[in-house]
Amino acid sequence: MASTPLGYPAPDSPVDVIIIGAGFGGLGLGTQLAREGKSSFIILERAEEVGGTWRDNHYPGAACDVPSHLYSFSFRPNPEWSRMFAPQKEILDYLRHVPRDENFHERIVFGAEVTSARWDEAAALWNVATPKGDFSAKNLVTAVGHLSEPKLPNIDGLSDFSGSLFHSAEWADEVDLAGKRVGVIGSGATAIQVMPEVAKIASEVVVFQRSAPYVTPRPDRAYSDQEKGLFRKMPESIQELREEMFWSNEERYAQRRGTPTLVSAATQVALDHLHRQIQDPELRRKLTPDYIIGCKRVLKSNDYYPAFVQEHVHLETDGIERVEGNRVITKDGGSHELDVIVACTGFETTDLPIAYRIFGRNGLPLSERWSNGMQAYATTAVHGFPNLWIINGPNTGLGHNSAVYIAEAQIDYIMAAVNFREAADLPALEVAEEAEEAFMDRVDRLAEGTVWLEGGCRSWYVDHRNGRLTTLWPEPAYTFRQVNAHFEPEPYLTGSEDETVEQVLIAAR
Amino acid sequence: MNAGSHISKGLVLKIHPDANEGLVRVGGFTVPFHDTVAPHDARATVVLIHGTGGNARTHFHTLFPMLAAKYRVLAVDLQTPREGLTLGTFSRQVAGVIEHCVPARSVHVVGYSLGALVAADLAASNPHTLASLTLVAGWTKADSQQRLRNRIWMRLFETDQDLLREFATWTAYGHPFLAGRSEADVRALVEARVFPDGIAEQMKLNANADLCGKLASITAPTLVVAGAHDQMVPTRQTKLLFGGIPNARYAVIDSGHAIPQERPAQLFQIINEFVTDPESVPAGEIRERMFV
Ligand SMILES: Cc1cc2nc3c(=O)[nH]c(=O)nc-3n(C[C@H](O)[C@H](O)[C@H](O)COP(=O)(O)OP(=O)(O)OC[C@H]3O[C@@H](n4cnc5c(N)ncnc54)[C@H](O)[C@@H]3O)c2cc1C
Repeated sequence: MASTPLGYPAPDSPVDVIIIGAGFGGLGLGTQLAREGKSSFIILERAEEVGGTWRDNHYPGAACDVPSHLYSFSFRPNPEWSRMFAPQKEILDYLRHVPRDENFHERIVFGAEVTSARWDEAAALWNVATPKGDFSAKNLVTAVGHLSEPKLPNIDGLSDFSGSLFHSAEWADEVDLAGKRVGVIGSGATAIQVMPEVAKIASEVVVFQRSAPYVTPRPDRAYSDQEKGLFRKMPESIQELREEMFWSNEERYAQRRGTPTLVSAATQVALDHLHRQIQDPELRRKLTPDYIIGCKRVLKSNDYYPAFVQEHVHLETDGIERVEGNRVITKDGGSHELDVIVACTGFETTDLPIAYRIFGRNGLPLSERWSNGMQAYATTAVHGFPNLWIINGPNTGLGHNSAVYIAEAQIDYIMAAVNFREAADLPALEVAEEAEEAFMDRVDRLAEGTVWLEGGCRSWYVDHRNGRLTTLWPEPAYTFRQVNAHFEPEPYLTGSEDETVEQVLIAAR
Repeated sequence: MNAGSHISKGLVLKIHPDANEGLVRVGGFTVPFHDTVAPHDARATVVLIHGTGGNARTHFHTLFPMLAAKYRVLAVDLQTPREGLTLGTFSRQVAGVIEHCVPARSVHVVGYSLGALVAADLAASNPHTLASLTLVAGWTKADSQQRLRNRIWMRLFETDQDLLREFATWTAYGHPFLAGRSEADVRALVEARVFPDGIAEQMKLNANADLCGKLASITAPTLVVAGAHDQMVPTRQTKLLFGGIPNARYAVIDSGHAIPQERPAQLFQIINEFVTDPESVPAGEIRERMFV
């Protein structure tokens, strides 16, 4: 195959696999392809560096909230994690090593934002356009993340704010917060990490809270030299620790099925934490959530509540009415003069931008196929979009365990599918519509009675266009692997001639 | 048992919102049960039998709801007589509850600790009732190591129940589990320990029960689950169960004796997999480590 000096194929020579995105998902799949000796793939990444989430979210205090030995690839254990919950920089370094150690760094095309990807039926190829040129491939894998498109709140006058305004995932390093009056909009997973750090240097901090989160103790600690030495010398000790972390997270799944005894025990843990750290009754009241625990992400922090006890930190629970000049005006007419606003307001999760750029059979945009909410067979394949595979798309979010574990299950599926298509010598694999619908019915049934649909909160887990749980997997993480990691060819073969199907199935076995 | 008083107070939450609580007269006993039966529920039934000093609620508070998402679940609160307790006393209670709630249907029986011995006894004497048998942290006949612990327990029960709370906590949980917890968490585990009526009788049964003559007659597909760090029922004992039951497979969980407390989610997955397809691990084989 012709190669450009950069190491990736010339635009006119198709590769087997194009991966969009170089976060955990894309790098994980790249690793497996490289380890199987498959050299015909490239990764298109819009930024100038790998890392995805962990490249973009470099705000002060950024860290994972699933323990690092679990929140990492099972096939790349890391004895060097400094802490139970490693800081952002360490996770980014871990990811930076992946393509170098696994020898596929030269296959990543940086600055290559995919602007469109079109299925060419006749050639059975995906044609992909980027500012770095056009590429084509037999298989297209999107690994663009589901928390990668920062969302700013819809507030009157916000964009005309006269001070500095930025989103937590687009942290403005050049803005010095020392001595400044800083507003933090939001009280979710990011806000609780950001705020205590900002409060250390700012002259005043105002947290604008729409709904109080449940916050539980964060059992963080540094690993000792002996422990790290043990991890290096006996890698199985990492695996044991990983399993302990995994199963203890899985246990929390039972709470999400709305079992009152477990829900009240979990609630108690969070409220005890609040009461231990906050004495002031008024502050306690404002920080007490008004929905069922688990409906939104349960947060972990030891320094969020104590930060409010400082004189210069304020909690604002009246909704924001508008922004005027350098002032934020609340619904009851109150006003806060600020120098900086940090929007910790999350991401676009239900209506993914990449869906507007992918065009399947007959030019149908994925966004149109998904106009009523996103869905995919085995969370990975979509009818009408042959040879398209999605990592971290619909129904892959977890309220309680590691996203990397989920991506690994999908990677196993995609590897098997790609290998099957090649071995069976089929031009394309397209999942049958009935199989996709049957799968979604099953997901809907599983979601019934879970706290996400019935917990009385507004969360990013549910698509408000159809009231369905489209981002979250409603079962334990282990079940995700059982259901979604094993590729079976049948649902892809129903459209073809009977005889061919028979032959292919015989060959496959 | 304390479960009965909880029910009558009506203050304590049900083990699961779908669980109907009822009572059955079996022999001289009134036996409480928790049953998620619903009209037209054709799902397979899993029967849960708790161990020493526990009841359905204290031993299965997490396992029960996990199973209830997929199965009809029926848990029994065993009733202990003042004297003369045998495995048969308990297994007849379980058989009575099954007959009352799920007549003429075969069920999947899961027993934990002493409950595993009760389940094995039930399987040996009612072979047609069981679709499958899962024995979690069970043993065949207490050996000298186990009898030594049992004697210490008895002495402390008579002389120093505070110390017994600490001792029982230390023996119940695996060392990685306890070591991974803060002092305060361990203290909370110690303080939560209670010694309900009948527990001393149950401890005597633990020391004297003997399944050896019965194992060969168990015909139901059986899964033996061991805790790798179990100090109360060391793996030597679970291996003997595996050795003695003809149609048995073996699975190990990195846990102490308190498997339903330490690793309920993993236990659920192992049981679910076995009940779904008892032959998924062939008889005589060891289930491979679960990938995470
Ligand atoms: C602050 C924060 C903390 C988190 N903490 C945890 C945690 O503790 N545990 C956990 O399980 N999960 C956590 N998550 C979720 C996290 O997003 C996932 O765990 C995981 O990092 C997702 O990996 P990914 O590869 O799917 O997506 P991403 O990491 O988002 O990577 C996607 C990549 O695709 C690129 N891309 C997007 N669109 C295009 C395009 N059109 N063309 C080319 N390239 C494109 C992006 O630039 C990016 O590099 C956290 C998320 C955030 C935001």
